[in-house]
Amino acid sequence: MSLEDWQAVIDVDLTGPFLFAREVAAQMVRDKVQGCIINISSCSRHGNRGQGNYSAAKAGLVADTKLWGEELSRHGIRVGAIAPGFVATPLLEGMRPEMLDKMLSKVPLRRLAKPEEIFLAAKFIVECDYFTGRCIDVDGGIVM
Amino acid sequence: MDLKQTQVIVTGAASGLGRCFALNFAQAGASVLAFDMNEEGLHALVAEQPAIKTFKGSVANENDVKSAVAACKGISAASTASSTTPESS
Repeated sequence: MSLEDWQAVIDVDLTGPFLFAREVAAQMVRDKVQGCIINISSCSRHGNRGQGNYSAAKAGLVADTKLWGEELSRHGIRVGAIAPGFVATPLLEGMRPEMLDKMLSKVPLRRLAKPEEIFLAAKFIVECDYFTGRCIDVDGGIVM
Repeated sequence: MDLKQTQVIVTGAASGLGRCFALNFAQAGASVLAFDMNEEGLHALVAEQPAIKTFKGSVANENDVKSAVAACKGISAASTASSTTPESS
């Protein structure tokens, strides 16, 4: 993997969430507003071959979810993460059927997640005031 | 927290999961600021749900992020949906 490929994914998937969490938390503290931050991790955070950059970024996000949850709790800010499995987005739907079948053979529920099923976890994180510092896996039971 | 009284920033909102999150948060009554580099995708999002506000920028650009957050006073939730989707090993 080139340094360029490594850095591009770290920038978008780890640095981006860090910048947003920092700025949003600072503004919530200034405005004295309670709130929450949701990091989107991935089942790939356990290590997916060929995706060293993506796996590292998504694992880092779960570590920071725990840390930021601890650090920001005194300001009334909760932090949660969601780790989706394979989701029916245009990118995956364009995949060759045999590749898709191979992927789904690893998923106990044998299908892609609907995006709305991942949103349910986000809704839960926003609405449940006793949730912080943890990651919800919504992945059909896949073990990477 | 009550979703109806929540102001949410959704990143990666022009497509995929982020788009779904933006639409569903808006439908649940939250005020949504959709953030993405893909202007065309943001326009399509607003065409579907005109209540959604948008901000074109890169999550990795510190100034873009600061400007987007400053534009969203009273923010109470942020979702960093990624624009990248895991691929098969």
